[in-house]
Amino acid sequence: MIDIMSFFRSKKSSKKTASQIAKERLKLVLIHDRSDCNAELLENIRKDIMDVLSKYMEIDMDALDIQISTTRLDDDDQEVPALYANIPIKTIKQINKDDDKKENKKEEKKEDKKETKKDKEEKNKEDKKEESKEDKKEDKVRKNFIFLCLNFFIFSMEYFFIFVRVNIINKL
Amino acid sequence: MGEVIVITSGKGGVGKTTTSANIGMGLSREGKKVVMIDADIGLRNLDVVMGLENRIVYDLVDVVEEKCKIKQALIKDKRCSNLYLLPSAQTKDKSAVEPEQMKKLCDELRKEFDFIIIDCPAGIEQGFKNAIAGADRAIVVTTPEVSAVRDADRIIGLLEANDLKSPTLIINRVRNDMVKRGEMMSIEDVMEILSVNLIGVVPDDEGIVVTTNQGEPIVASQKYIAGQAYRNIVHRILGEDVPILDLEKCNSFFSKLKRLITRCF
Repeated sequence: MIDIMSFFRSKKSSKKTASQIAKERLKLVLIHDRSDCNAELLENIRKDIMDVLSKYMEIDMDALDIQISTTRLDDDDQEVPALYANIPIKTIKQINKDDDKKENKKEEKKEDKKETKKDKEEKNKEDKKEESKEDKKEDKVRKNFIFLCLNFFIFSMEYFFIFVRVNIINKL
Repeated sequence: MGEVIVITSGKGGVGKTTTSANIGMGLSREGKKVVMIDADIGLRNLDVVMGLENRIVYDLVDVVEEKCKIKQALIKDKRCSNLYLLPSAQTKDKSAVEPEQMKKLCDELRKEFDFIIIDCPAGIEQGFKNAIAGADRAIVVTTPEVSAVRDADRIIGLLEANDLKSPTLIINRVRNDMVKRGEMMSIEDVMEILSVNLIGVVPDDEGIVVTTNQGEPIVASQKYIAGQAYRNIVHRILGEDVPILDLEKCNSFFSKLKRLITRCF
C-alpha cells in the first residue's frame, strides 16, 4: 500500500512535463547546432555585449569583431566552442575611479577560482590583443581597461557556460 | 508575374506533400492559376495525393531534358479548372536535374501562372538545392516534435543562407488535448524556439488519412477541421489577415456537433 502511495507521490513530484523536457532539450541541441553558422545568435550576443560595455566606454562599432569558433582543450583532444571578441575602444568614461578599483580586485579573485583552463587561455589571448592596441595610451587608462575587460569576461562567461554545458551533455 | 513558393521541412514525413497539395488546390479554388511541381525525383507522391496518378505521360525530367514541351507534361486537374501538376520522375534520381535547370523552368512557368508550388524532397542534399533554386519564398512545415523542430531550424538557416529571407512556418499535426496535458510542445513553445513568422497551424486530423486515401485534398472538404486550417493558410498566403485557428474552440462540444451534422448531410 505504501509502495503504491509513494509511486503516485513520486509521479506527482516530478514536475516537468514531457513538453517542457522536449523544449529544454531542443534549446540545448539548437545552441550547439547553431553555434557555427547562425548570424542571428551572434548579432544578439553582439548587442548584449554592446549594451553592457557602452555603460563604461565608447566603442568603435564598425571595427567590432565577435565570432564563435573552436579551441582545443589541453588535456583533451576534443574541440570545444569558444567565443572570441575583439572590441576597439575609442574613449573610456571615468566614473567612481576608486570604487571601480576595489571591485576590480574582488572580481579578479572570484574569477580565478571559477576559471577553467580554456577560459584562462582565451582571456590571455584577449588581453594581449586588446593591449597591443592600447599600447600608446597612458597607464591609468590601461589599468582601467583591464578591469573593464574582466567585466566583459564575466558577462561573456554566461554564454560560455551554455556552450560548456552542451559539450558535457554531448560527452555523456 | 507569378510567385514561386517552395514547401520544405528537412525531416521526412511531416506533411510536405499533403501541405503542397492542399495549398495548391486551395489557391486555385480562390481563382488563382496554379501549377504544382513535384521535385521529389525518384519518390513521387504528389500525384497520388492529388488523385492524378493515372494521367501521367511526361514528367519533370522529360521537361528539363527537353524531351517534351512543358505544356505536354502538365496534368490538368478536373476538379479545379486553374490547377495543374508537373509530376516528378519515378525511375530517375535527384541528380537528373540541376538547380540552374529548375530556375529556368520556374521562370518559364512564372509567365503563365499566378502561383508555382514546389513540393521539396526531405533532406538537405541535391533535391533540396534543386527545389529551392527558383523559389521566391519558402514555407517550412514542422510538427511539434524535437526531431522535426531541430530539422526545421537547420532548414531555416539554409534557406536564409540561400537568399530566401524570412521563411514562414506551418506547424502540422498539433494535438490540442496533448498540449493541454503538457505532453506535447505548444505552438508558443515551437515559435519561441524557431523565431520565424507563423503562417498556419494544422491540427492532427483523421480526415487527412481519409481524404488522402481518396485522392481528394482535404482543403475542398467542409467536414474536417484540417480543411479549414488549410483554407486559412491559403488566405494568409494571399495576404489576408486571418486569425490562427483556435483549437480549443474547435474541440468544444458544439463545434463537434456541428461537424457531425455536416458530416451526415
